[in-house]
Amino acid sequence: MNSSKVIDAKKLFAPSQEQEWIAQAKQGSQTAFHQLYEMHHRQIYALCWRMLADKDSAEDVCQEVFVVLWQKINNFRGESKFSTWLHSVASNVVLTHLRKQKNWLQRVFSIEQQTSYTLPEEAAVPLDDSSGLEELDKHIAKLPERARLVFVLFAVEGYRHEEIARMLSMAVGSSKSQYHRAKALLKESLSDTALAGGNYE
Amino acid sequence: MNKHISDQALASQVDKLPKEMQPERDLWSGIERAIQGQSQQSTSESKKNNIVPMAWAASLVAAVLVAWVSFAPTPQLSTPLTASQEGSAEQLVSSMQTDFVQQKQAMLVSYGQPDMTDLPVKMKNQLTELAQARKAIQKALANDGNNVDLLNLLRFTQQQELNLLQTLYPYMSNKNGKWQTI
Repeated sequence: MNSSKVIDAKKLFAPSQEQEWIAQAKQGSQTAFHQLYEMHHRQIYALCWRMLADKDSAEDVCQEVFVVLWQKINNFRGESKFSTWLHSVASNVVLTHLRKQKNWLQRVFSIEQQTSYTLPEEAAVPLDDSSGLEELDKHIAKLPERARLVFVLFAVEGYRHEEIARMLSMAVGSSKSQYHRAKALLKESLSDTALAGGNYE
Repeated sequence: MNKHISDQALASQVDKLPKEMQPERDLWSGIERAIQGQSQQSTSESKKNNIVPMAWAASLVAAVLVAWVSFAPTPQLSTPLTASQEGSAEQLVSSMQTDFVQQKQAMLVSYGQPDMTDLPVKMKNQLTELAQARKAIQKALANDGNNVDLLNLLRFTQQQELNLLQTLYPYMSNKNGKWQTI
């Protein structure tokens, strides 16, 4: 049997199957919801990991995303692709998680300390670890929080700066400058790695 | 020597990033537990339709409570005690405490149930001191339930606590029931 025909059939079949699962999940079927989870959780986890740069938080927030999805699945009207809608739900859950974390931190630290807060060193991914992450992912994880969020949302998730500005409550110009900052930092750290023996151009 | 990474090279690296990652632990079991028996929300429109009348009702209740708190006289716990009331001292202490808790709760509800832990330290200390004094008096009354002076002192302390809470009202914001920083 020709393998290209199998792939085409899968592509044709998957969306209608997904629609069916969505409809059943809307009716309260946990089995159908589990299928949706199986279909999308790796992508959502990747998004959570890149935005949070922490494995444990990413796993917790990924779970939270699917709990929120269960509660709000009736809001999906099919006007966009389900995966696109789910990614926007996930991005919002991640940002809410970060805001909650900040509110808690503000109680512990002063506002001045808070603005300069970055992930503690031990929480960041060591560049020479064997976690199986892509090299670039390890460098993204090292970026300062705002720059990392903007970079992931713009370059990886494909949001426009106007949308990111709304999501992060910042000016469009700030989103653009954070993106350029992230790019510059990434290029610098990738260059350093290349000099140390990597194979970047 | 500087090895330069171009925008194009970076963009190419971004394109090559995997779309999926595998979490290390099983996430489904936790999700399953969380959604067990949890109802799904109706569509956003029906939700909005429910929110509007509820918001109106909540505003009305809040307005009535604020008016009540603003115009009603300072909550006074009944008149000082006399020796004739000494017989049922235990019941009296218990009902005084219930009366006080109810008044305090009503006051806090009218303020939008603010988070007491967010109060300024000075205020928190004053409230803590009063609460400690109240507890000490209650402890003393457990051994000497017929002591009218102690009963009056308890009433006085409770009243002070209510008065202090009332003076805090101007310091709280109307949003989210949070205390304002003084």
